[in-house]
Amino acid sequence: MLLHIKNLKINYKSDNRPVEVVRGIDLDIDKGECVGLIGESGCGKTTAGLGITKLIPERKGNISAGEILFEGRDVLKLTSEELRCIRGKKISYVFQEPFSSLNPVFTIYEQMRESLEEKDNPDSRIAEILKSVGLEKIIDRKNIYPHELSGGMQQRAMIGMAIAPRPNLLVLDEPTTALDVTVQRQILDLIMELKNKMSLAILFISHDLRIVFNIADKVAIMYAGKIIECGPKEKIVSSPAHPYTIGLIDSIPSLKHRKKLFNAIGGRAPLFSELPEGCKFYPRCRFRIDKCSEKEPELKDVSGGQASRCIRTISAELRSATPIKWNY
Amino acid sequence: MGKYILKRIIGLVVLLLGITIITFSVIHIAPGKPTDLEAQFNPKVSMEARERISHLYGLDKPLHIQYIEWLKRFARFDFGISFMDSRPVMQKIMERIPVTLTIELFSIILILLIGIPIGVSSAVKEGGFYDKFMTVFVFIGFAVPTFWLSLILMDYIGVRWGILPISGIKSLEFEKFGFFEKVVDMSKHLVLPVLVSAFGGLAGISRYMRSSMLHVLKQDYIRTARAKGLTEKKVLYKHALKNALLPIVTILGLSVPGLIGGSVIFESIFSIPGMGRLFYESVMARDYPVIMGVLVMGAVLTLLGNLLADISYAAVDPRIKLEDNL
Repeated sequence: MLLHIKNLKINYKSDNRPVEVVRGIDLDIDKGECVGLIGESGCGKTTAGLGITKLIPERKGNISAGEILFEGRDVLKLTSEELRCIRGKKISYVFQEPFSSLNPVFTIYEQMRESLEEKDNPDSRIAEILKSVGLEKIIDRKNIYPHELSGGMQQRAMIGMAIAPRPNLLVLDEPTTALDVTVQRQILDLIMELKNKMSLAILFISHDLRIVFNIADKVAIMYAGKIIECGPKEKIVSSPAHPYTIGLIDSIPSLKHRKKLFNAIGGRAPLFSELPEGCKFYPRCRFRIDKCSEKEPELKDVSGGQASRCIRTISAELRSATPIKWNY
Repeated sequence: MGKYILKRIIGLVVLLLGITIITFSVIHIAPGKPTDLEAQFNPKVSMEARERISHLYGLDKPLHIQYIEWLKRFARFDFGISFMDSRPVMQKIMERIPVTLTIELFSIILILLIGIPIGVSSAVKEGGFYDKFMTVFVFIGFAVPTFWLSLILMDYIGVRWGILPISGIKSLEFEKFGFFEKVVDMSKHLVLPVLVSAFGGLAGISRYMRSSMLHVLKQDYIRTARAKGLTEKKVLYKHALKNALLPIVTILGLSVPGLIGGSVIFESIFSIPGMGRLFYESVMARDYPVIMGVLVMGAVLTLLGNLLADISYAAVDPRIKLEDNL
């Protein structure tokens, strides 16, 4: 096991009392495995990803409970010096907006040089990395700045910076969301290529189901700060167990029924300051029964490594028989 | 780049022309005449004598003719002759500039040396005791009237404790000193004026630096730098500071006119023969050529300061290129 997260809880400070944004998640990532973390914006997925190396600024929030075992060591118990040896060395990040994630006043070369391991010769290693992320064009241009590159090239540079120290785990936080579709494809291909070549483990955080289903081995779906369903990708695609996952899959627009309205999930994700009692998805759920609002369900095994946080068993018949509600 | 600068300079000349028209009119329309001092208050001066003086100074001609004549001289870099002592205006200004320049230069260096670290460290410790203390400190500097602070410092440091001289820029026996003693003597005289002037300017630069740094610290690339595993020192003083310093360049450009303009208030209090005093005296005497000279000098420097800020901005920020086809 490369990364083992157990009952991770993260609070954000707010005016009156702290708000728990990650409310106890468990996540395992094996060597060379790609895990997709899916959720609506504001469900805590980015925060969870940042939490892995304690990247949440102290003035904004803190990790209140849990364990993050990386290669057997608890990240939360490391000194800041030890933590720095993991950040960007063994676990590295690629963020959503390549343009704002690169420092505008330093050259790509300089920013890449900072990520290198000490034993590497900067020039030859950077040339090697640039080649492997498809930026051969700028190998001889040490004085090129981020704004001189296109969005796709900037993200390639970010990925290059992330893989430069030969990490074991790559956290990709919506790495393709800010890019247009054709460039998305190229970046995803690049990520998959690097993953296979370097046997990288990847935590792929995204709200885009189709992308995650494309590249992930395992999938975890977050809702309101908790994982509500997880399991092997094939299982989740073919037989989703949680109503939220079903809703997400149903809402993927299909090419066949072009004129049909999207089957969106009604309502909106609850605010962390006013979460409902019981199951947090209850108010938006089309399969709900009265019992759902009593107690928040535990994550329980469905079959073959798939687990769901729902007290009901939703069969294919029930799924097709229950109409999608438009309760906006 | 060269073309850009040339175009900007042509634009500045036009702007300067406009400025001179407005200042010239305002000065001449304002109540009081240069002849007042020697004529109005003296009952023995006859009407004819007054007209003779007016004619001598060219004040009897229509305003636009006077302006054109002034402009003709100005085009030859001749600011005319002072009404008060008949010395060339240029010469009077040049006498005064070194003192003011020295004080203002030292004061701005002091402001930068103290203000930037205060701003940066306040931003890093945002909301803490240190940040609040520094905020209060620099605002006191901003709010306290210059004359009051000057008088207090003169009273304590100069009179009661007798540590530093309180006025002028040279001691009486200055001429007898050797070179080294002369330097020490002048430095002593300049300490208080420089301190007073720097204390007042501290708020501006340190608050500006603080907000600039705070803004930068919230940027995504700072998170990237932390995620790379860089030390906090490198994150703050390499990645954040370089970005946060960029807007300060503009402020420096805008402070150029102050370097020469000087301060009317503290130059008067400390009896420093600088530009501020010269301006004050010439306004009081309605010495038109000198007033125009000082104002035009200030205008030219303001415009050049702006241009300089734009050019140096392009030099320090890789994202900005000065386009030749502007």
